[in-house]
Amino acid sequence: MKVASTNPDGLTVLDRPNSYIGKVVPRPNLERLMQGRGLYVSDMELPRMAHVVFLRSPHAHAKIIGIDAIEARHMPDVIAIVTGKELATVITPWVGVLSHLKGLKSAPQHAIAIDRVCWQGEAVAAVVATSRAVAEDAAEIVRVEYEELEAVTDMRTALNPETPMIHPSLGDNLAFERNLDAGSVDAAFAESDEVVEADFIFGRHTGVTLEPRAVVADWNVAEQRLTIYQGTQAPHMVQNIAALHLGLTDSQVRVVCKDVGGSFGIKVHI
Amino acid sequence: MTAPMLISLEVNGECVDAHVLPRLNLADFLREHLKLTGTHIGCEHGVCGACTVRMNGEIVRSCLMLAVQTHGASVVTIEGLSDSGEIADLQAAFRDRNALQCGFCTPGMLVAAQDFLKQETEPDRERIREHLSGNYCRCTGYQAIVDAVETTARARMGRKP
Repeated sequence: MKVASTNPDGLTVLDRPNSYIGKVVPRPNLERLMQGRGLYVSDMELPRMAHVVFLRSPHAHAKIIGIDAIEARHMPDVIAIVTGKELATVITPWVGVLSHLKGLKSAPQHAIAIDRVCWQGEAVAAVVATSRAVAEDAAEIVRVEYEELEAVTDMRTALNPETPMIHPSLGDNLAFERNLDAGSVDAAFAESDEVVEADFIFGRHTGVTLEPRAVVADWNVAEQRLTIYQGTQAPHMVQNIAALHLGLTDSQVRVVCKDVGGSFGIKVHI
Repeated sequence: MTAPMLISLEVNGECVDAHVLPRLNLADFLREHLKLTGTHIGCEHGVCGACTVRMNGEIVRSCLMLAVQTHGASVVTIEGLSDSGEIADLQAAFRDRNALQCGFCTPGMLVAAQDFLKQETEPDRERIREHLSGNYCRCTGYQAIVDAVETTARARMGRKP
């Protein structure tokens, strides 16, 4: 086909919408990112925005005997200190299963631990203040009394009868099992000229993004709408999960995702 | 020593006077008081390099400096380096080589790379890597970044890349 060259603007076939095929196209966001003019969540500041700091468990497994936050609550510029029980009145527990991994078990998990912590670092209270520094000051004087329980940390003994069950409602400590049967392994070993045995120990690994996690949430009480600014890779999932657990309709929740400082799979979660 | 203190300094060529708490770090001062959010906070303990800025001609970790330590100093951030055009060629090389993905490390990386380019005349890849070893990139990998810095060094030496 002959391309008509009567175009007064001097446009050619390469100016058609599909003309990017085969071309190197610089990403349009590079300039602002290189000039320090991106907009990551922690760059955002809404009027009268509050900051939250989570007080976290130093124990891997413990009963929470009591939380004394009276003194911290009365510190200047502290807005609220919220425990798991208090938060549970507005948010339902999360069950972390995946539809493509049939049989995966997950005990209901509260946003903040109630009565018991199951891992080191689990949140036991949220400290809300006018600045992060004040919230951290207040978190330091919240007193939590724990009764330590036996921690289950070894995969090889997790299913032994004498090992405590972390979530009795699940029946055992086995979250998921997948068997791959590719033939008779025992026979293959028996017929081998030589069998070499070795133990492999793998460290915990995860995606480690340079930008830490960050969320800014804006509940408009007059409109009954929640706007969540989050560095995430799955804004629709965040919308769906937030609506589900906060008792809202999807249309009441808007998720805005601007620049994200790396996701690597870990930022699908809230 | 918990009452606010008055500091006077120069930031990107402008005079700034501010009352700051003694515990406020320079990164938070730049970001929260001056709204210069191009200085990023990744690790907040001097390891990742995302908060790198120039102070009195030397690069520093702004998360490890207190704002009160900058009294009387001259601070230049990524915004200042961009607006002055000082690193326009380096930024162009980053763009051409696609030496960034998420961009979170990029301001600190550019500030540190420019510091290298001012000190070193030879575009030695090992020296570039050493100079940028305090700046973490978690997406792209360092190859393209080193390429971009090397290209800029060669161009500044008047050679062809």
